[in-house]
Amino acid sequence: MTLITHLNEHRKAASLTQAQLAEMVGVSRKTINTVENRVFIPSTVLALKLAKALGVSVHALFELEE
Amino acid sequence: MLSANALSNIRVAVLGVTGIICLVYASLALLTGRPDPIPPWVPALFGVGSAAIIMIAFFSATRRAADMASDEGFAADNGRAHKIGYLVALFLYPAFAAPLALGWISWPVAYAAMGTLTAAAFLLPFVLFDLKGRL
Repeated sequence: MTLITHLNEHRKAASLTQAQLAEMVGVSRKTINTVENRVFIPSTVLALKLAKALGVSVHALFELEE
Repeated sequence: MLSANALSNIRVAVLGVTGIICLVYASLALLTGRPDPIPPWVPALFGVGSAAIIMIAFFSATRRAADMASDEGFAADNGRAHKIGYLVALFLYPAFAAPLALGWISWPVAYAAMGTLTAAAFLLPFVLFDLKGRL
């Protein structure tokens, strides 16, 4: 199964840059970029932080490809 | 105070330079057939210097910036680079066995090349993963 991420869409909808979102959740901009590009699968903790920062659920950010 | 981005840039720059130095040293050792194609303390100096620069940079930054620069994305890159470094280090033994057995290279040259290649096999992939992740 592949992880599908909608982080990019939600981040842009919130009018945030990768650097701003990274600052909010305490990671590097590169980490946000690799999550958006599906290079890196974030930990549960980071996924929860991202969801909280963007005001959405984790399921809205990530889903498994059927 | 240094930002997380500045810390990452410093780390990737010094590790990249050290990785290149190690690769150049190994290549020159194999090409010239000498275990010391350049002064052998050069790769060591770059390695220790890199560690010192990274430590000083991280200690001079805020805790938050240091944590951001060593987040789970960094840990993932570090882990991937370690895997490659480990496999390359293992592969070097059979790779050098035949040239050594045939007398194409001497033991001192093999030690010098294998040692510096082992370092480069971790450093350069780490830098590559870090830089690729930014694009």
